[in-house]
Amino acid sequence: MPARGGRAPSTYAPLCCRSHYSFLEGASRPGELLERAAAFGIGSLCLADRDGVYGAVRAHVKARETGLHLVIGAQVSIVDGSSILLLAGDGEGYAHLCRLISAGRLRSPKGESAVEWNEVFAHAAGLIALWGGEESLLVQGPDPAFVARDLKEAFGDRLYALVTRHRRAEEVWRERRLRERAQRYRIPTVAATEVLYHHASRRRLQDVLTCIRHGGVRIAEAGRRIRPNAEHDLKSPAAFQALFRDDPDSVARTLEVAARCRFSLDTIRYRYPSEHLPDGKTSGERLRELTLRGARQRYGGSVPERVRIQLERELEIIGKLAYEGYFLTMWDLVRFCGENGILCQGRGSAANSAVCYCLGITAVDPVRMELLFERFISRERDEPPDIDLDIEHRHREEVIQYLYRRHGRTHAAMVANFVRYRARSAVRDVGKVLGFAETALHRLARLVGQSDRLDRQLVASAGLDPAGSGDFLRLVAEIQGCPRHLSIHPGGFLLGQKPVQDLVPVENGAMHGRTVIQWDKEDLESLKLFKVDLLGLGMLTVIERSLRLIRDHWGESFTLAGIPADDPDTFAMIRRADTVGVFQVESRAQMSMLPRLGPRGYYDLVIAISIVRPGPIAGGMVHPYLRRRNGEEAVAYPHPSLEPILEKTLGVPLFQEQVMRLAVVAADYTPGEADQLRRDMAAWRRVGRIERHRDRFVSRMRAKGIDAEFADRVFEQIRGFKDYGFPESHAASFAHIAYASAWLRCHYHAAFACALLNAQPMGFYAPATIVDDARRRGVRVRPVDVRRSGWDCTLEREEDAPGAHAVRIGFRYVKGLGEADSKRIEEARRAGSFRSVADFASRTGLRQDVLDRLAEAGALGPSRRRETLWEVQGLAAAGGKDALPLESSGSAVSFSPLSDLESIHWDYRSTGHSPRGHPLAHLRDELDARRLPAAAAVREMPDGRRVEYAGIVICRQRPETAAGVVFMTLEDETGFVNVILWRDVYEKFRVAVNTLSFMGVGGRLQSESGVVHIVADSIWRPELDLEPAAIGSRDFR
Amino acid sequence: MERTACVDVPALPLQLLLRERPEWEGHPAAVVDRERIQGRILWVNGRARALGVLPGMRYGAALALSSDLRADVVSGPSIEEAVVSLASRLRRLAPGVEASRDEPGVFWLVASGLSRLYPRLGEWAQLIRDEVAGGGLRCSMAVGFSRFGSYASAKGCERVVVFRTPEEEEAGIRGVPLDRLDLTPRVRQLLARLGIHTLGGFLDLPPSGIRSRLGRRAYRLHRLASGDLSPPLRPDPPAEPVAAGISLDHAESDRGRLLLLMEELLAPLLEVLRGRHEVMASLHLTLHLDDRSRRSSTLRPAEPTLDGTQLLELLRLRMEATALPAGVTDIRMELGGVRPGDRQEELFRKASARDLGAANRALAQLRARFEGGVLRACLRPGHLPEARFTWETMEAVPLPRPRRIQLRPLVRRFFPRPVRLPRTGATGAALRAEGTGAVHESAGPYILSGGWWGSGAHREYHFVRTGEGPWLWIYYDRKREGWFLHGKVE
Repeated sequence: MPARGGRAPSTYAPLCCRSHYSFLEGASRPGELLERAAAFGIGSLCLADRDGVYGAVRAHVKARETGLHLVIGAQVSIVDGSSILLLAGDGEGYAHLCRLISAGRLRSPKGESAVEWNEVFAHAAGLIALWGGEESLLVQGPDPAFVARDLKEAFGDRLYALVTRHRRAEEVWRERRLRERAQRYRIPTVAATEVLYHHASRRRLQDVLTCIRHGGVRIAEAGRRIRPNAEHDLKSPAAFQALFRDDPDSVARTLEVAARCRFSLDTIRYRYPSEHLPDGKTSGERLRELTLRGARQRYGGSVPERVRIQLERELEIIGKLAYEGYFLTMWDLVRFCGENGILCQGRGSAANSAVCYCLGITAVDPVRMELLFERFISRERDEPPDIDLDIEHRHREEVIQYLYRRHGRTHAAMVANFVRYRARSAVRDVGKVLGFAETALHRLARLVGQSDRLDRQLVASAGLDPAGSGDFLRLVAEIQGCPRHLSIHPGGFLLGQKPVQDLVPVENGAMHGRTVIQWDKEDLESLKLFKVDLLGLGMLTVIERSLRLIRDHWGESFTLAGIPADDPDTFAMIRRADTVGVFQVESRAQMSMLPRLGPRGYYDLVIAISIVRPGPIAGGMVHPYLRRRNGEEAVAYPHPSLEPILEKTLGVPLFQEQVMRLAVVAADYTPGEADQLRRDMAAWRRVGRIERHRDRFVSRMRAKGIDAEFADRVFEQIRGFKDYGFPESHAASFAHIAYASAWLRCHYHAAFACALLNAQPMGFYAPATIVDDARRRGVRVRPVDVRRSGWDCTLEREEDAPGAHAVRIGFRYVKGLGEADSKRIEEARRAGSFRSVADFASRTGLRQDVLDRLAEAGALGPSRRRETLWEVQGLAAAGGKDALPLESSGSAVSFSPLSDLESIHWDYRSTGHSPRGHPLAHLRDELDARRLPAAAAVREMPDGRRVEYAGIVICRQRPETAAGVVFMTLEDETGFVNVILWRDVYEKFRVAVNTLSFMGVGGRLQSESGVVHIVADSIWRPELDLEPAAIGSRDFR
Repeated sequence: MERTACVDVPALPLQLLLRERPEWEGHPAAVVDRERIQGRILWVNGRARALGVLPGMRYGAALALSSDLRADVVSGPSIEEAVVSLASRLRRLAPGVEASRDEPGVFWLVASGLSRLYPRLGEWAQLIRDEVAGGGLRCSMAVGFSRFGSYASAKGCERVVVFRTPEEEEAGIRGVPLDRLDLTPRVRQLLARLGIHTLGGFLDLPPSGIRSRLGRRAYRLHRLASGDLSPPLRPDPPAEPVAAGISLDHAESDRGRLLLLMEELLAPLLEVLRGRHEVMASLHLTLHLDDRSRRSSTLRPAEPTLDGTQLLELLRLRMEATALPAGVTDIRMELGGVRPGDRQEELFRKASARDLGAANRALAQLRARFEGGVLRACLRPGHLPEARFTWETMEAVPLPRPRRIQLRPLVRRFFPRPVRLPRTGATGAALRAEGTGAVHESAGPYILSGGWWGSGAHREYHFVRTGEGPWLWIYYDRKREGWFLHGKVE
């Protein structure tokens, strides 16, 4: 096929290229191969990764950019250990290739594939077969007469014998044998090199990847596992012709083969599945019916005119773009969740749609919120809508399996996620291959995690010789970004009207019952394919459990939608930053912001969620917004044309949508350019994609007379969005859940704390902090007890306080005790109360270590825990469950009783928290004697005062946007204290900051709008007679 | 009254490691059982301990606490070697030394009868500490009356403690922290949870409950501490070399007479080994010559033996191969003994037509005749021709397993060292200059490049046929910029 773009026709086409999507084999990205091919003037290139088309979409996008003709194929592994190269000639051939690979993948363990020869013959239509190479039967072993004849019959003139040369002596006899056999079976030969990298300089990386594939064998011991030379690069036409100068016909045939491959991914005709429709209705009619019915429910019978107009407009666009099936699927999922008592809620740009709101997919009224539908679906943009559905995390698997059942395994598969090398994994794997000591490598990997650079100095500080680290550093840099293996996207599904396997190969996921396609989210976006995203959200589980507890213990029935809106007490609590456990506004940074922001209504919460994000922070938008909100600065607009865009947020852009509209209005971006900007922002962490907008964006704004400083700040904000951007619609959906959780915390704290403890691990704080927070708010927390506890934490009526409930800690918090153990205890308890420790051990038959933990946790009796532990130890020795029920083993021994602090230590060791008190409460006298105040006292101190404080570290953070500043939260029995460490202070006290769990801090108090921080200048280890127990800290996440 | 002392070199493997790696001073450091992330921490220094790194942890978990942690493995043989060396040092100052078999770094010393030499035992103890310090190690020491009492006290003190009465010793050990004693981490943690941190508290526990709850090891410790168990001191005898020698009045050059003298030396030495229930694995022979030079060599029989005839035959072969420019004035012979292996399995071994024993005896004779041993080629999976095989010492002849192979029509023989061809610019010219004639035919290049992680190589191999007829195997070495003849095809 002639090269596009007026280029002179190339003399050959590389037909056997493998990218790094042949995991741990290829050493170049598909884009690198195509770029180099284009530079050589090559017109066609075939990407044929091993048993997959993982890199096909990326190659396709690059081929469009470079004007190359891309041939898609795959090196298909056969059960006899050989392989064959199959290229997609047309659409049918491509579908056959995908089906064939799927068959091989689905029958094999994860990461492997093998097909039968019969399957190859059966899928021959539309495919071109290149049979040859080192692994082929055509050069190996006895004459493969049967296979050859059947292949010839199946493929006819689309079968070629592949002659490969890499300047290896042993290729001579192999080629001779291949040519003899090819002649015998009248198969024409075609020339190729097996391309594993775009440039010879990548040979080292390919060697290293090979060693990793072989289990991390050291390179010096790799022997013939690695290739003998660097001849697997992409050859220039001249070099290729020189290599095959004795066989020009085989070279010319490469072009013939490429020309026969006419398939392009552009020709894929993807149709979203039509739903099973009742009464012969069309999907459009069904969608309209459901939408209008939902609208009547949402708006109480009379649908406002504005809403009706909006719905009509949306339904028209949805119909024109034929997206009805997608909306019906989402509705069906929401219906399934509703019928099964599973809380769910749509997030993301779907909240811009009134149809989604009326279908119950989202909880935000876009008409009332004045959200733009075009941000969700646009006819001009011609992109499929993207609805992300949050589901209670404990029920997500049920919904996933429902989707499989509804659409069938052939028509539904999960989206892939490529696990790629990052700095730490690169250091470990490359270093191991180069023979570095593993102990030193792991030390270096940890240092890499704490530092933002990897250089000789860091290598030396890990105890490795920096002199010989040149190759190591280069290879670590090169390998980063290489996919290591395939994983599954957390909740992305691809659904199809036709079998998904005709579109892309499907393989087994690591998790039982999951199948996964070979493309990731970005690939689907590039091809404009529909995706259904089912995401697990812990807070929905908390809300559902809280509502159930309220119904069971208070007799009041609420739903998520029915929680009273705009409750003043709830907003007062939020303004006080009393928000431990509240969705999205519980973090240290949010707690610092809330008193300054002072939210009083739902939209304030939307802003609160959006403002503490890298985008607004990097753009310097936070303080201007706060000043304007507090009346300290006049609301002004950089240009009159921007007023409609920025009016909602007092002239300061906070949301991604606003930045996008700014680009169009202020920087004259065309819709296409704006769309590209949005994509580049979405492709977060891809270096360089945002940067290319800077000049255009800033210069055009300046040309319009907008202040350069403002333009720069907006662009910095865009760069911030690349890390994590929040569209307004997304924030609106989250604000809904945030408010619900805050309301539950405010009015039913016991139920909320109980549900939160049962939903762990999730959120920002360790269970110990949640327990202490509940206690500070007057909720009694009772320790785990074999006579009363269940697996989950439960609520118990407070006898001395009518209407109040205490939280009883469940067995889930006893370390080392499983759910099955809990069931045994509960079953034994139902049969009768326990008469003694021996009776308990005998009837439950629990393991020694479990009994040990229960004794330590005080679950077998809170007093005389040491004696109980001694007794439990003796029970095991006396025969455990086979002992007579009332037998008590060992003589009675007395031990010194546990002090209060020791009791708390024992609780922490066995359950990770203590319902008996905070570790520092029992050290308060000693702390007072050393003039170390409690957190409550610190909060009352005046701004600027010098203070020394000691507390337990519950959080350490070093945000990327904070230029090396470290934030910590310390806790004592009276609350939290926030600490700020400037970069130099952190560097000075780095070890203490990273390692101390009980920490002393000296510094100056900064108090503003009720937000109190200690700006630290010293960190020290408090020298007390006794050491408090450590609470789990959330570190640098 | 009998006096017993105990020397404790705490965390001996860690001290050895830090002695090897002085640059680790000031950093948290640990000894691990293997050089893997899953490796178990065995010993830690004070800095590591302060950061929460404790023995028993996985190395990965320890790194999470301290990314600066340095760790390495200390091999069993190197620990044994250090123990032997320390025991030898201690013997200079103590009449009897027993090294602990369970805890490397613990030594009991006989301290009785030293009063005339050292009126104050404290001074003697200080000399012992100085002796240990001379080896680059630090220790603590207790001089007491019982084996366990001195052991526990040495563990519990930082420098030196000397007890004056047994009662004082008994009272002193009650305060020894349990974490200094040889208890498993599980038992130590359990006792700590029960509020028992010292040996005194441990002694107060009822003995009947200890064995069932805390295991045999703790029970034994309890019996030792309570005096219920009191094993005697068993000083290790210093290992005497099995060696003998003879000095000749006149230099002797006659090999026959020398062999007779060697036979006289050898027979009693073999008896000594027999008495130790050992067999001879090696014989080290040293001959001093009249010209003040010396000839030394080591002989190894096919398998460890006490067969004098076989050994004399090996000596004869070695003597025949040894040049003696002057007469011998002195003969020294030292035997290396080993425990005999269990040979009963041979009774069940299927009889083979081939006598491997005879083959191995022949190998031993070859070794005796030609110093340097017998080598054989073994295939290796390398790319470079010289990396495709290696020479390995052949200790024994394996039973051959011949298989049919198809004979190739051509055999490529390559030279042990490639021959550099003259620098003439072109291959043909280079070969002509070598006198092989003009190149008529060639194939290649076949490229072998690699070893980039080391010195690296890049060779472009060609097969060429010259006017003289044979196919030659040559390559161009890009790194050395020259042509080399590597072999011929026959």
